[in-house]
Amino acid sequence: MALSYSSQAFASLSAKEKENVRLVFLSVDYEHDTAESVATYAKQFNPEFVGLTGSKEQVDTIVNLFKASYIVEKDAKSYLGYSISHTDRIYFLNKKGIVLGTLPNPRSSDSIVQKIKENL
Amino acid sequence: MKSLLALIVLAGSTAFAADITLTNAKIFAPIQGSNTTAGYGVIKNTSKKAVTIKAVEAKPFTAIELHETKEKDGRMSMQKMEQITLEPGKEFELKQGGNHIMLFDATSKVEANQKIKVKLLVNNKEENFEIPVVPRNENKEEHHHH
Repeated sequence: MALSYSSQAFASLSAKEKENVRLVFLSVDYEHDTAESVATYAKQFNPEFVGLTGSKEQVDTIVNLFKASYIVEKDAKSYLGYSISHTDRIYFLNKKGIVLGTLPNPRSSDSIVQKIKENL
Repeated sequence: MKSLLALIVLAGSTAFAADITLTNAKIFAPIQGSNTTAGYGVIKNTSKKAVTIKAVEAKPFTAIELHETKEKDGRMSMQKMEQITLEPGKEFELKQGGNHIMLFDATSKVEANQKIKVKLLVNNKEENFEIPVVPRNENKEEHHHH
């Protein structure tokens, strides 16, 4: 959902605004996803979107930097056999990597556009 | 005339035999990089008693599950629901960002404009629904809703 709404949000930005915004999508499912699969997935929402994952250590480093969290739980009754609960939040950073604001769920493409424009 | 009328009534009761309706149903075409996709719609109990609903099959997907989206301690999670119980006249909405149908590992390509036959168990009785596949990234509906 975050990528769907972000995709719509980016589509409504001007060419100049798009030049100054990047989206990075991080999967915390490092056991099953690969950096390549996440990158492929993200690009289908917008060719400029960057999709990433990494080792547990790398993912944990990023998650801790953002004071986010995730929990992997076994779910024997489900097809996948597990589920992951995780912080569902879009973080808006400036060029120095300082978090300027966040957008939790529920959100919309309009609220993403608004937050981008507030911080450009 | 009496027998003709009786036949019409019988035909009518057969048409309303189904206990639920599924409206505005759609399944997103799977996209590369993910082995899952999701389906949405509104299930309504049109019968006069409570019904239980389980999702059992949606070929060519390997598995289908009803998922609920929950927030706990600031974290979002999607978990399998064994079944839904719906009281008479009640609706259960499957929507983006909320509860939904989860479909796993298609064994053949699934593309927009196809229809997927979804088998549900309604009070342990099989009912089939054909759900259209729509493109993942051209869903303007969600935009208009906000």
